[in-house]
Amino acid sequence: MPIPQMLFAPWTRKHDKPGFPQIPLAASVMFPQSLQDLIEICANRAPGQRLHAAGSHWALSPAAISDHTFIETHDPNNFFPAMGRTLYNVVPACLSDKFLTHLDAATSIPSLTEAPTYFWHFESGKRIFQLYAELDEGDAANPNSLAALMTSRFGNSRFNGSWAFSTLGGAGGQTVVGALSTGTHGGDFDRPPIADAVVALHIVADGGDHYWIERSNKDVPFTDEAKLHALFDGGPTKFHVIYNDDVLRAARIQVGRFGAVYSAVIKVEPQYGLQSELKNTTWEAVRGDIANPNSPLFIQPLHVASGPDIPQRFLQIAINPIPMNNGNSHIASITRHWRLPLNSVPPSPPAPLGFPPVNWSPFANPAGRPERVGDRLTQPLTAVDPLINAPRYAQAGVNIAFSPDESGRRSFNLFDAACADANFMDGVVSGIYTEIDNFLSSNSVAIGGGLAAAIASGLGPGIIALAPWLLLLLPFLALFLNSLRNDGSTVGQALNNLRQGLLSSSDPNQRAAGILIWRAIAAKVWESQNSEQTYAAISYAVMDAHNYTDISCAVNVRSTEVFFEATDPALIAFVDRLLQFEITQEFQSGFSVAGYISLRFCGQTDAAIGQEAFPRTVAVECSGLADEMGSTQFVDFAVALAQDPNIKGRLHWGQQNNSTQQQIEFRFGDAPFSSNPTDGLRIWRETLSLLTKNGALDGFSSAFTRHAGLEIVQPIVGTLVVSAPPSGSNPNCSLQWNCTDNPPGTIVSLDILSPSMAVTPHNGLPLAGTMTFVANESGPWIATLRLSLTRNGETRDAATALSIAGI
Amino acid sequence: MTVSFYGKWSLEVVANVNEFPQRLRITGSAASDGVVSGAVGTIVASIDGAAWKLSLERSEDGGVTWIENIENALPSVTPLDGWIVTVYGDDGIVLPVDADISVKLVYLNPVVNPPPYHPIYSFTLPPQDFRPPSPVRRECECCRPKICSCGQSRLPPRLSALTAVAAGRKLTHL
Repeated sequence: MPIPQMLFAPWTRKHDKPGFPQIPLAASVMFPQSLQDLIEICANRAPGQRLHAAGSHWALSPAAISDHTFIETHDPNNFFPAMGRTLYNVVPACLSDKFLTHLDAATSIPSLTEAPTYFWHFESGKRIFQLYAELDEGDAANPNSLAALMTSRFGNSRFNGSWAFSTLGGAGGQTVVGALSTGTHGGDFDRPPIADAVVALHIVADGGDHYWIERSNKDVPFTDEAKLHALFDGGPTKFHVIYNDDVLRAARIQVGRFGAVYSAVIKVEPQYGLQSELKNTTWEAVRGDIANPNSPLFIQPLHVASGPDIPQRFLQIAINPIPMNNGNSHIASITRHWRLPLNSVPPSPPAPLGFPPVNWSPFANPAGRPERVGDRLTQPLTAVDPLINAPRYAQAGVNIAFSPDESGRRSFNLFDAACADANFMDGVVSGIYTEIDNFLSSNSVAIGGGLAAAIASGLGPGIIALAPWLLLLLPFLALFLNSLRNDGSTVGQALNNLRQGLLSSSDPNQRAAGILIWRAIAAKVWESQNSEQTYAAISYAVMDAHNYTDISCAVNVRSTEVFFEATDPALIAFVDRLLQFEITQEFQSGFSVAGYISLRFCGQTDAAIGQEAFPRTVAVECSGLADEMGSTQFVDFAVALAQDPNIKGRLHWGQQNNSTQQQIEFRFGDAPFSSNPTDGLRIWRETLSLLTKNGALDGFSSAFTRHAGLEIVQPIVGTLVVSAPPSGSNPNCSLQWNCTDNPPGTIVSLDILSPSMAVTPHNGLPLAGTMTFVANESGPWIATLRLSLTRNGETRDAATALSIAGI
Repeated sequence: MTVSFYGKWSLEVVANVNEFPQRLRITGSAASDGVVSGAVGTIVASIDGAAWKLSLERSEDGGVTWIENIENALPSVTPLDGWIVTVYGDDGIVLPVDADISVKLVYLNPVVNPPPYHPIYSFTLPPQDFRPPSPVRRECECCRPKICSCGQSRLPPRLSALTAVAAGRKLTHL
């Protein structure tokens, strides 16, 4: 059956501007349905037609862009079926007997089963919300599952329960493989990001060879290599099994360069609940505590009625970049999480306020389960929806964020509520209008209002001097409200109209008055979005805060994320400089960001080029709606700041990232003349070399990987032999070389050095060939084969030499 | 340990407790390599170079020999200069405030450290003009304040008050 394919179709990412596809005419978009399809695509690629796998299209990075052909693992238009199966052919069918015995005995196996652990194998097109739904239901009822095997073989029913991701990012719409391949993380500072949950990856590389990659085989192998070969050998291309810690480290975050991931095995843990708390303060009040791991930011325990205190595991600091308090401070919303036993999570509110218990677990109804997963729509138990090749759940990936009061307004995205509720902005702007009106009438402002937040207590003329211009702006606000109610523009466009009217005046007095109003509105919006609250729910309902009903806000978004060590003073300076930039652009350009700065904390990753390189890493996300003039400038400034060598931030692979090879090597090692074998980028490139014949197979290279240096940079010498030496009276000497395992563009030369030190160079040679020279002088002749590869202005060489006796 | 800098910076010695004679050594720059006095107020207007280093040195024998201090470089942001780095030097490991010498460097890259804007407006109000909020009033669409898109119905009386504002009188009883 032919692989579905579209030619010259537009290709776009989820967060791009609607109506303006990122790639107006993609040469080819393919929709594989199976491992065999992926192998066929990779084996039969035409020269020059490079490939790149795409999942949910959630990436904001140019790393998602293919030079030519996109391989869609989950069609975002839901027209072609996704590669979304849960697989049982390896887990449990190919697990080693020794491993199963250890699993039964609950013996701790380093890097595999430190805690109660289960393993889930799935295709690369499965989305996060789909997987957390399936994990929650568990698979004990499936006779092919690991749980069923443990029950039948060992009588062990410990795996029959409900399972969960140990951590997640803030949204569940990405494919799991897409999220882990780019280093996506959450705010759980006591554990590494999701990529570190990977136990095995099945990657199809350029040329069609496919690789099962696992950690080094120690005392207890996870899989049985013979069973793997029995399962996957015999196709048109070769199947390889690699048990190697460094290769797995490299493959965890490979940005699509190694090939197309067909499937992944991740470890998961028993389902749990999370207690979440949101408190508001200011950035200026908490920034001094960030470097101290024992500060109250990190060690606030949760007191429970019975049992010991529960330690905090999550921290997020979301900052409104638009200042308050006369520009002297910025509101910051602090979110903390604590892990709860699932049975401590309160039940979901009963109908009609809430949802009934789900049909697959009628006796357990923890808060968040009915709201974020819901009933299983495909029956019977082993049936799947053919479009996603998985069971479909009523609420998975379709609902607003879980909220204890059902408002859904707990996202730190500054304008998320505006997207969810058309009346929201109307209410806020109307309220500020009234506040200004009241101020002009009374010369006083109400404590707790947006205007009071924007100003500071102080003597002097202050905002009273701006009263005439505030008055002049009231009609504009009225016009804006009428427009908001009638013209149907997107939230970003409406905000841009508002900003333009308030901040664009050439009269500095009127602009100042407009800035005051703008800040008052921003303060009120933030306050509305981030009301202080505490609640508990099932794990995924707390971690996945995405509003899946939003159709207007989360488009045309600009976003980047910059990683620092938590103790690095450059972190605080980076945020302070961004906030200073916002103030400057408000006054100088009349621009302003419609977005947020968010700091999330996570543990160190094992991935070779993971951004989470420090025991406590901070990810600073800077995001804004691109329709709003000032957001793009703000995010671009954040990128430029992070890339500066004096600041040395690491950019997220999956968000705005135009890093150069030199910038990447400066951060991840393997710069020219570096000799550190433990450099993450060196380990990553060595793995790329292993999977691509040292870059000769460049089918998954892209403009992004070439620009960023995620390529083979070091040529390697293949063979150089004397195929016919001088003999008798025949001084002719023939040499043969083969260096075909090198990237296109590798330059080959051969120097012949005579015994009398005369050099004859031969340049511009092919990667493989033969050459004959006359060794007509007695003594040693030296033939030196040199390879040279230049990328982004950096040249690296390799050479080998032979000595031949002349006559 | 010397401190590495990239690109163009200015330098100023901002503190020196004079426990020892102090000096600064710049290496690897495009045109500013050499030794600079550690006296407070010493300024180097511009030091450029792809990658250059600064070390702070003291002499414990009256200037015959020089020893590199223990240095501590702390980036921060100031309203006046934006991104700066203060390098603290001492003969021991001390808190920055106790350092023997402090040198401020201002980043002169206009792309990543454009000159900050210094607002000339003060968004302030005397403390007595903050009042408690009015009791919360539930609003619905029908009782939301009526806002006229043209503003004509409300503006004329207010506009007459502008003269009063311009004259510096308080905006009351409009």
